[in-house]
Amino acid sequence: MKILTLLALLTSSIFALTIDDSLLKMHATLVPKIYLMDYKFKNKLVNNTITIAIVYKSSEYLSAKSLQKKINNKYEKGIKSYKVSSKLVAYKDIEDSKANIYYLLPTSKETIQKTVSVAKKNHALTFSYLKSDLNYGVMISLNISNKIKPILNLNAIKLNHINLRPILLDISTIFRQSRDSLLDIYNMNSPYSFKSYYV
Amino acid sequence: MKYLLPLFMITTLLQAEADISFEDDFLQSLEEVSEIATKAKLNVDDSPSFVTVLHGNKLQELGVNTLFEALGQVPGVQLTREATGVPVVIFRGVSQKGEVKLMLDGVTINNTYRGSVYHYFDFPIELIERVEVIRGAGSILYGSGAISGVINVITKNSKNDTKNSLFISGGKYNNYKGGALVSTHYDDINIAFDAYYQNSDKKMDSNDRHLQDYSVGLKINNEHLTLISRYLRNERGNAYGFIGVPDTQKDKYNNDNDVLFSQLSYQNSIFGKNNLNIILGFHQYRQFGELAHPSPTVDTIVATYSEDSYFSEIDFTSHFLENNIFLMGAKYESVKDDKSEWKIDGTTTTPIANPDLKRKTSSIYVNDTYTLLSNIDFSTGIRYDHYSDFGSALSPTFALVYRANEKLRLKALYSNAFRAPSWIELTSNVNLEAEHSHSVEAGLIYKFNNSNKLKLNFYKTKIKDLIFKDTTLNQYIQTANAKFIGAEFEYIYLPTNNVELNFFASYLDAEDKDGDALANIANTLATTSLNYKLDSGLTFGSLLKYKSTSTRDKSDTREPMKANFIFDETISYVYKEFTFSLIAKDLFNSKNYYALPMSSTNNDFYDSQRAILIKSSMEF
Repeated sequence: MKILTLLALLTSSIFALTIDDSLLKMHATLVPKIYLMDYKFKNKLVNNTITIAIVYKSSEYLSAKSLQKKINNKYEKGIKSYKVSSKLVAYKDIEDSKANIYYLLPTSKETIQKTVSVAKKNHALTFSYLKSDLNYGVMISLNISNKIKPILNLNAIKLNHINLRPILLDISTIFRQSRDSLLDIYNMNSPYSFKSYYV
Repeated sequence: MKYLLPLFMITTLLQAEADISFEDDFLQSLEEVSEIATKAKLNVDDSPSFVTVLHGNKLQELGVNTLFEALGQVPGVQLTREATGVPVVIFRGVSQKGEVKLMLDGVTINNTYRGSVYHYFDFPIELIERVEVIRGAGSILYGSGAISGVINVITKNSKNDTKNSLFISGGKYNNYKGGALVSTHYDDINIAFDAYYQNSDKKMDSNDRHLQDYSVGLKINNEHLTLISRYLRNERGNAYGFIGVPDTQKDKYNNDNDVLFSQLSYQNSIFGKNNLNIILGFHQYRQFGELAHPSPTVDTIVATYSEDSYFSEIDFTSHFLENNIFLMGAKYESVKDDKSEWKIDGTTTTPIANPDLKRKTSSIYVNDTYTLLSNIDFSTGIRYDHYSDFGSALSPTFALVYRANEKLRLKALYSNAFRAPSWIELTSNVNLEAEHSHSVEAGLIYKFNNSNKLKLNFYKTKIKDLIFKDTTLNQYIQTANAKFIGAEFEYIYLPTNNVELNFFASYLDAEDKDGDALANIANTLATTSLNYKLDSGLTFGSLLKYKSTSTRDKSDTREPMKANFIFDETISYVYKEFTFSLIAKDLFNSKNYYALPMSSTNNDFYDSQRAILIKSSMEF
């Protein structure tokens, strides 16, 4: 099963380094709505607002701005009774950020892992432009093949105590990252860490 | 307590309803993004054709400046120029005019006069969102001219959420370019406007190759209605001239092309997920060509030509039947020439094409893509076109896509396509009929892992009744066939998140009816590109292009055209909304040579050499 999911992960038609604006448009549509798939999302909102941090490195600033514009245009009036707000956060400023969802544009493995840790502290969802970032602890990305499916890092979601609606699990491709590697990312693999409570 | 229970039940029910509402809403959004993916050709690996999608932003990182240069990034495409300096795109060895279809935001650019499209090849990359290229036949959907390829240019202007931008650039040959794209919206109405101007005073071998090119484009749309309109003017020097007499003066002997089109389309969903699309459009083409004459007693020959075209199309895509995507459509087009004359030193002589030409074209087509099994798609369709001035054409197609596993896709395709004779050709010979092609293709896409992907395909195309000019008879005739057998290979490698390597190559064996190689067609083409992005905002783009030797006409006793390598390097820096680029074209001054006829006083020619270009752009 693990091999199958890994194979599924490797089938993206989006196979290029340059950010694709159409893919950003797809992400802009799905990212805020995927947050509503968390049963407990209401408890995590401040001022009834879903806050999305678009995290970027300097060379992807224009792509980050583009995504922000797409989200703002799409969800100008919010979703149902919830407001949607997006902000740009440079990777170098990630430590001080607060958000409900962290959207990660491509960067190095180490920076992705650091952002994932910050997101965990904020009890936030992480969604990445690149599916391969699920290897580094990101929770969600999008699989583009003959059918469009979310791809979920189930262990990352569980370790962050996020309880997703079953329909999302039904329609998604499941990626299973080993718990140990996740705990490494969260710096929890010490004898005194939080890890033991999960065993 | 008796009130608490109903209250609890009502609350639970409301909660359940809200949950279902969230879930339905999400599923609806998933369908919405599937449509975006299909429209943006993000899942072309699964489509029943061989498609290349080029992205404007990525091409800019590689120093690509125009649509013409962009098409050099398509496997199997050779870029060349006529003696007049006019750019020519050779798709899979087919170098005649009109066998490649060019569309801009869905509007056909090929004129009826000559089938020509070159006046759009200088369109700036800064205004292009992406270029979708069908490699091979595409008549089933696109009708005449889609024999060896279909190019659909999607401008940034056509997007609803486009970014405002400004761009300027300058470099060698007094080459400068500037343009802008602005968009806004009022309630649900989106308005986008773009404009550019570019100039080059290029002169080589004392021959005028200047270019003055500009265009303005407008798009207004709401949810269902879209109006697009564009005017373009392309004026250029005639380099080595039409009849072997070089153009040595910038202000004289020019080739001017003016194009105006407008298209109104209506799109809506009917009966659930079925889509209806209705199009009404107008296309006007004008050419003013001034030529130097070999006789010292004649100063100038002037060719003036214009045509107007009106078209309408309706198509309907249905998902009624499970596992089927059914498309049916019909198109009607009416073209007439307004002006068509030669003048020698101001005196009108014979018309270029017969005066008062009219062509009415009626087309119908159906296509069904059926998912036989979860991993096999079968697609088949047929198109019938009737032309009032020469006859009709039938274009069937069959395709199979097999998803063997998550890594491997296999495709097979058979298709017929055609090209209607142009008015220049029909004026020369009223008995001409359509050229027909039969193509068989097979290919695979293999994704090794997240960092490596390769694509390989083979094709065999036979064009029957190829129209060509017999120089002895001075007439277009249709006695030849041509055969094209080739392979195309692509490899993409992403070792890290900031490095991308692309390699593609093609091999082609193009023969005429006697089995002789077609002239000026390179057997082997290869391109390697490397993008390297630093976190600091610096991007390096390297492009290495190879073209093998090519034979000449049978009567041409000169050595074959030499092989060559061209290397371009681009360094870009992104700072907030600004991008600055330094582009070195042909860094090693290899010069890309193009063929001149043997009768010319010159031996081949090159159109450019090492050139430095500086660009700056801003998005806001």
